[in-house]
Amino acid sequence: MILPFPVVAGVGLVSILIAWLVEHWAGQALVSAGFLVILWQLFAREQATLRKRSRDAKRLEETRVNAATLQSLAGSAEEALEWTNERLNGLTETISQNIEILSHSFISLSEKTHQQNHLARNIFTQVQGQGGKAGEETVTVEQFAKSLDGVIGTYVELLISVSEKSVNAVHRIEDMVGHIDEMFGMLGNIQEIADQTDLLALNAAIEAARAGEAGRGFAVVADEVRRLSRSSSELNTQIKEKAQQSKASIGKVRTIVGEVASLDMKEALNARGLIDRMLDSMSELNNQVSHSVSEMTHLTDEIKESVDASVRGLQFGDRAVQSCQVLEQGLTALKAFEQAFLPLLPQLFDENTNSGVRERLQALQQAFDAQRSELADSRGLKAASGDAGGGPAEDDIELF
Amino acid sequence: MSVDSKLSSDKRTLTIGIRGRFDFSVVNEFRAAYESAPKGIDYVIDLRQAEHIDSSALGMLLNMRNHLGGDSVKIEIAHAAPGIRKILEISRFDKKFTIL
Repeated sequence: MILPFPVVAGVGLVSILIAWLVEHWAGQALVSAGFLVILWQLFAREQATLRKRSRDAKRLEETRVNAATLQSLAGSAEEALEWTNERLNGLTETISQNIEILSHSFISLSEKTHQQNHLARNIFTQVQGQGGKAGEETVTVEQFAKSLDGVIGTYVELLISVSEKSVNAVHRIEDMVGHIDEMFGMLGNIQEIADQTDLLALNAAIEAARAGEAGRGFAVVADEVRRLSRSSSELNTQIKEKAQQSKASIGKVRTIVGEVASLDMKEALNARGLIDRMLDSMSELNNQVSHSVSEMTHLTDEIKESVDASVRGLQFGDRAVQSCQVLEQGLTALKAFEQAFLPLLPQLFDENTNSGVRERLQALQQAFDAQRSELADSRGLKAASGDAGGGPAEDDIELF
Repeated sequence: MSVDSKLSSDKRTLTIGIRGRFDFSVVNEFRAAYESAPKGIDYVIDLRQAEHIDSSALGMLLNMRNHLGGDSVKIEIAHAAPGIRKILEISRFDKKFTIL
């Protein structure tokens, strides 16, 4: 038992006084010194105890402050945990929504690409003139141009045939004109004969008059002959006129037939040239189209490959969602532990209640370990199910 | 005279030359040029100096061919300018005449 310093000091001083009452100086000095040493020791011990008490109080105060800081930190951590959880939820939602949108657009892109490819092939076969179902006639521009060429050929043939026949007709007309001209010569001869007959009849009339009464009858005949020759001369003139008119008409016919025969060949020539150029440019166009279409088909195939690669890439997005979900579970567990741990914190620093805290902390540690191994198992299980699909490529298609 | 015909010295070839326009205006001259010539020889239409032809010229050439014996007669069309040659080609005259 430690007595307080004033009591010890009092007892000491009383002891020294008693010692002074003893007669011998040496004993007095010895005893006094011994007591002084004892007193000094006691004083030093008392001082040490006082210092220790003050240190303990200071440490306790520090511990309290630390506990409060820790509690506030735990609160901040909880807030941060809450915030992280919310963000994680948002992230998961965003990723899964966008993955859905992306996968839809990629699938639609793939379909559209396929359609585009189909269209390009259609165009190609149409341009090549290989399209159309069996028994159905498809007319390509090339066929059209060829048939047009045939039509122009027929037209040219017709034109030449008309010219040939017209020229032939003109030749016959020329022959006819020649015949008419011969006829004119003959008519001239007839006129001459009529004139000579007239003269002859005149001579006969003169001879008849000279014969007197006996020639009277002959004079009548001569007169009749003269009349006949005159009317034949008149007839001759009329025939000449008609023949002249015929010749004029034939001349007109000749001109008309000549016009029919003379047609400019330039248009037919131009048309032929145009068709030739058209066919040339058609075949060039064909080449270009087939080249472009094959290039386009190649590009479409490449697009399809890229789209497939992108769809495969979305698998990783799905995995990200899964990871987010696991992360969320982890956060939830962490929050639960944090909530279980927080009330224990002040008790840990309280000297009166800290006896059961250790057991509760140990229980918490065990629960936490169990939860952790469970989480690890669930993740392993997911990976295992992914592997069971037989490779990532097959897995992709199942997932979307 | 825009049409002149010349019989070769061996009398085996008649050359008919056309000058200027080979069209309906020379129908009689052209006809006279071949009708007056002997039959059964070779004929040459020289278009060196011809500037223009129309369908009546083609008709005249065909009439000449018919007159002289159709498929059995040999008629050459020589020295045609490119434009005239083109017309002869689109008229398929290369099948009935020898175009030089």
